[in-house]
Amino acid sequence: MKRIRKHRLLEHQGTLHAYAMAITREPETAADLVQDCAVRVLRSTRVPADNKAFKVWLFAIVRNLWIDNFRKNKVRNEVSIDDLCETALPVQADLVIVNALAVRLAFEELSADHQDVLALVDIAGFSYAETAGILDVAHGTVMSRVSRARCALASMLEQEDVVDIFARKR
Amino acid sequence: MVMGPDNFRKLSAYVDGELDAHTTAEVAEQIARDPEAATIVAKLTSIKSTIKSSYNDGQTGESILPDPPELKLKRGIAVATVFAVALLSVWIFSNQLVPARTDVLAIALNHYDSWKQVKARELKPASLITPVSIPDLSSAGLKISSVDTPIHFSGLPASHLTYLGSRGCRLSLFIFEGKLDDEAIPDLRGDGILADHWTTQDSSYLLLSRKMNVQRFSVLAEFIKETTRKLAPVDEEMRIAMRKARQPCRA
Repeated sequence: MKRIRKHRLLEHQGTLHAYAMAITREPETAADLVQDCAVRVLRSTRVPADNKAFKVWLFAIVRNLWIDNFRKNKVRNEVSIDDLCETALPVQADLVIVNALAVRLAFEELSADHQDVLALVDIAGFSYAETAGILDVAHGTVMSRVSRARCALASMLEQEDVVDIFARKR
Repeated sequence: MVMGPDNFRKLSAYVDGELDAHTTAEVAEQIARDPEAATIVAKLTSIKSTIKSSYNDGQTGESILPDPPELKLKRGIAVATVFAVALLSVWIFSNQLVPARTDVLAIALNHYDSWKQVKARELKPASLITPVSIPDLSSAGLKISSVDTPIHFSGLPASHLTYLGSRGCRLSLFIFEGKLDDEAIPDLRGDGILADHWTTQDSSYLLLSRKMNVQRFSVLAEFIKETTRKLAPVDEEMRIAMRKARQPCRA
């Protein structure tokens, strides 16, 4: 039984670590977080049998561990740029501006809530409904947070005048 | 031009495939006639995929599974343990009681790396008559490449079985006569090293690879453990798991 559980865990190792990296920003902390999650999963007496439910359960554990044990010790830089998106988004109808490094740096400048929701939707690949379950918020709230987070990202990238490295490669 | 937050929210949800069929069709129509909307959708799609790839660009390099018995050793304890093992090995070596065994993994890595230096086409076929039983990993796409026996680890006799995959993967299995102390094989994972060791009634085993997919290595280790422990015939499910876990190894 434990062996099967280990294999199920390993199936999600990459994504789980990516998610932990996104919310912690530190390789060591992310590794600790994922390791603690694995310990909890292996010790647990009840594990969801359904694969989707198992994945949701795993990420919820990581997130809760982060909130309970790790985040309180960290200082997060939060940028109040949400207001930029409240009213309108200026659009440059020219190039699609994306730069991998800039996107990652901009992601790290987002508020905790926005990082949280984008990490679950974009990095872990959860649907809005699954994300709503993990965050314990309404489906519409997830939709709004994702939108606002992306809006904030887009605004930051435009302010930075990022060059589209992918477009150049093509 | 200006895009309102409601419309932006809809486009964002469209990128995630979270709209119902009717609204999806509406947005698709909007994108077709409105270059501004099309630009935003393209931008959101790029951002989404870039976030995903920028955090999924590397594996952890080591297994997330806690070490047996499934309890995480805190760093301080781990450091203290390593230090104690080092002290003990120095003491044993200086007293010449038994061969120094703490370098088993290092010696095994040397064997593995020497073998890895040889190009696949230059490897000689393994002898079919050997004194050791050879786990069959053909379901996992790994064929026995060589059997080197006996080799010695500071006086400890062992056999070295090597497996070669069609996509560059290499795996070494060391079989020791008798039992090794757990302290003999310190956990030295890192630099792409994957190692697992276990003992049976008569022998000890050390499985080693570099830069193999962690999950694949874990499945292979479980399979070989079952084979060597002879607990039960290896079932079809395990063979299927091995086939599914096939991944090319990093150079």
